[in-house]
Amino acid sequence: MKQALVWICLGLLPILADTPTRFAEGNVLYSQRDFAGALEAFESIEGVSPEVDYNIGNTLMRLGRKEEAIARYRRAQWLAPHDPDIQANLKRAVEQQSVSFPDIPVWRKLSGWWGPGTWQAVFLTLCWLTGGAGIACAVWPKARVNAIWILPPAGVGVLLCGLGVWSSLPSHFTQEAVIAEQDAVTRFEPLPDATEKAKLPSGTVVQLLETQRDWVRIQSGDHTGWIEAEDLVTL
Amino acid sequence: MPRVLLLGCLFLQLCLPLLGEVTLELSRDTMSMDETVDLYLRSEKRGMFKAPTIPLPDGLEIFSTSQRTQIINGKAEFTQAYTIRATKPGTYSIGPFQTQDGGILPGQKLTVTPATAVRATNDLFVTLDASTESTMIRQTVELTLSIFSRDPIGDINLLNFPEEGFEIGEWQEIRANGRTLNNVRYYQKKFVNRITPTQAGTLEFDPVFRIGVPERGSPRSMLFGPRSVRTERVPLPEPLTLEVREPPTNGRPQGYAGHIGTFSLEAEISPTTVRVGDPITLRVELEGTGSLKQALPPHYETTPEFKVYQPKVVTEDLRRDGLSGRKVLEQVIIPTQPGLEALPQLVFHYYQPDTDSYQSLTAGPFPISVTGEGVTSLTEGSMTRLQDVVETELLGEDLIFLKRTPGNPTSLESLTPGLVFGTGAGLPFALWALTALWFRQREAQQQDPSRKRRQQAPKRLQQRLRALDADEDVWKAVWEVLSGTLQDRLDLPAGELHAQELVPVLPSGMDEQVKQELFDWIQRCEQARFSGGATPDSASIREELKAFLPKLDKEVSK
Repeated sequence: MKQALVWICLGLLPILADTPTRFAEGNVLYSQRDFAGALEAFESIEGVSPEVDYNIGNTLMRLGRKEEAIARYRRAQWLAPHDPDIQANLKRAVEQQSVSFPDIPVWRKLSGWWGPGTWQAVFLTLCWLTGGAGIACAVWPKARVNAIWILPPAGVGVLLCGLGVWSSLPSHFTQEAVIAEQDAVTRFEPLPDATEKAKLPSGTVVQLLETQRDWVRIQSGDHTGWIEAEDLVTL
Repeated sequence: MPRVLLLGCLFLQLCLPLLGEVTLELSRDTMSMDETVDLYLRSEKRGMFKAPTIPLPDGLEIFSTSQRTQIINGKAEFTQAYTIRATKPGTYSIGPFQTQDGGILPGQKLTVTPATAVRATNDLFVTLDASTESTMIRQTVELTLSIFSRDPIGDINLLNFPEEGFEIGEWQEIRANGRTLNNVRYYQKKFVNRITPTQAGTLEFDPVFRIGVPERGSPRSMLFGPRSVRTERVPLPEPLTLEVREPPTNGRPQGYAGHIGTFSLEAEISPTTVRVGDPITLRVELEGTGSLKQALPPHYETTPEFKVYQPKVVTEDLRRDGLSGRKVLEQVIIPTQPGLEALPQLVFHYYQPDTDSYQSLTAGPFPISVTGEGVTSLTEGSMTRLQDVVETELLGEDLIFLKRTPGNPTSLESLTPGLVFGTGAGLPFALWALTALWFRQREAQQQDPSRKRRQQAPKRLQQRLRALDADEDVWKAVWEVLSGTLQDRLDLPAGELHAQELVPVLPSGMDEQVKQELFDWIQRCEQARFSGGATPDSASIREELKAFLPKLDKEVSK
């Protein structure tokens, strides 16, 4: 058992040590205006964090790949909705594309002070504390007398943290995408020769509704239509 | 005969202190008698305002009103919409109006045409009309699509619609009542769109419509909606053609970029006193009606005296598919020589169809004062400063700086709660529930000691039945099974059991037949005890008792 733990730790060590190194390397390359190199360094980092997405977004902006940059900023915004740097750069990128941009929902802003991992940890802790308090109230008469002051607030706390966990689920932002092509055509049906419905400017953030083969049904404001998957950058 | 009615400057009563910039705009400038048009009164200032009464000329009336608030980039815009319908054809002018703070809202011209004469050709047919038969490049034309059906109209798909030679917006449904044609009532759906031709020639529209018509008629469909939808392909009775001309060449100014409409231009610069290498910001606002969507406000190109950066449209407030609104452009200009006195004049040319003439709008020249040394003789320090300016501009285009730490990168999968998370969250509550149940049971047993005995009665009954076969003295075994079962179920003390003592403790709702059978068994046991001797058929007694005991157990446990 001990041996297995040692091996796991040794296996994780290069990954844990590598992330800050690659991030710093990306920053250095960026400052040297080697944006392609910086992008490579940032993208080699395993996992998702608002900071990494934000720096990748900046690098993509420098490379002129604005739609991909908007997608990265948008994901960073979902993960850290109160980060002013992300807000500012996302706004700038969107303004350069002259597209309308949906704000993230209020519930995500409310839960955005903590990341998904923190919400899950707090939720689990609160579940165990509430469960423990419930057991104590069940077996210990003195605690049972005070159950009314312990269990309802704990239940409300569990409920609120559950909402926090729900609102920070990645499935919310993985249901979004950014239009990659200028004047991308949406159609009434998922067929290349179907009637055109509208043209969407590149950089528009859309909701993904359903997928059929290489076609995706999207929603942008009140507008819905089918679009080819290759015209989208997913978050 | 068109009739022009000018109401003059009326005092527009806005009921609260006036709310920043107020604009008045019609959604369309032409409509037919069977249509409605929306008049929008917009205010940019925060806070609600009470909608004023809009005086309308005779022949127009307000059908309904609605209010809407939009917040874009933190800026609130309040819109009061008046839906207007006409009672007679003509050309009307709504306004101009004077606001409480002395501002003027320009008048809106509205042409009301008689309802299009439609000849009923079928149970389901389509008409497509253009607001004009002839237009110019970049001059927007309104298309009106009407669908008439004897049955309610479902989804509509447009096939074979041409895609080249013009730009087109989105089809918008407008409110339209049903129409009676040849004494037959038709459902009607009406859509409008605007196209802007991009090349001269003849545009021909001959689309086919795929229209879903829900089946109806049965009571079920009235309650729960149509059971099925049939789809019909409907062509236009005849193609719609539109002639597109180029603007006239006579009087066309040099530098004309093809814009058509009516525009106004305002421009300013700041600061006006700078050193070589310092940035000057030019701000140009182009406002009007026409090909505003395609138009870029005038700006500067790089010259030996000035280095300029790519202009940026900072505000684009377009309405009616880009047919009206305003665009604001900003451009950074850096003088590279000292002693420059002015930025040159900006010119914007456009063709005005109303007057059939070309117009030119100008702004500037803008006086400036540039001090310092020219770029050709820049010192190293000045060069660095100029580079700093350029770098700042580039950074301004970019970005707030990079993050210095990577945070805590986590895989998306691990951010999604899975089975382990669910188990971890649910386990404490499951433990709580189990503990609570166990404790409740324990407490109940402590408060009622007979409860345990009653609960264990079925198990002990099974044990007794197994022992029944093992005991050689069948009546003794029968007696033990009967008395044990009754004592467990009725919580009787151990000892002798008599029929007379049993009567008051047996459940009141017990089946009389079972009760009688029980007494028989007790009597038979007592007879066997006192008479003694061998029992000829012990196996049948055991089987009989096994059949009786479940009934007894059921009745006494009531």
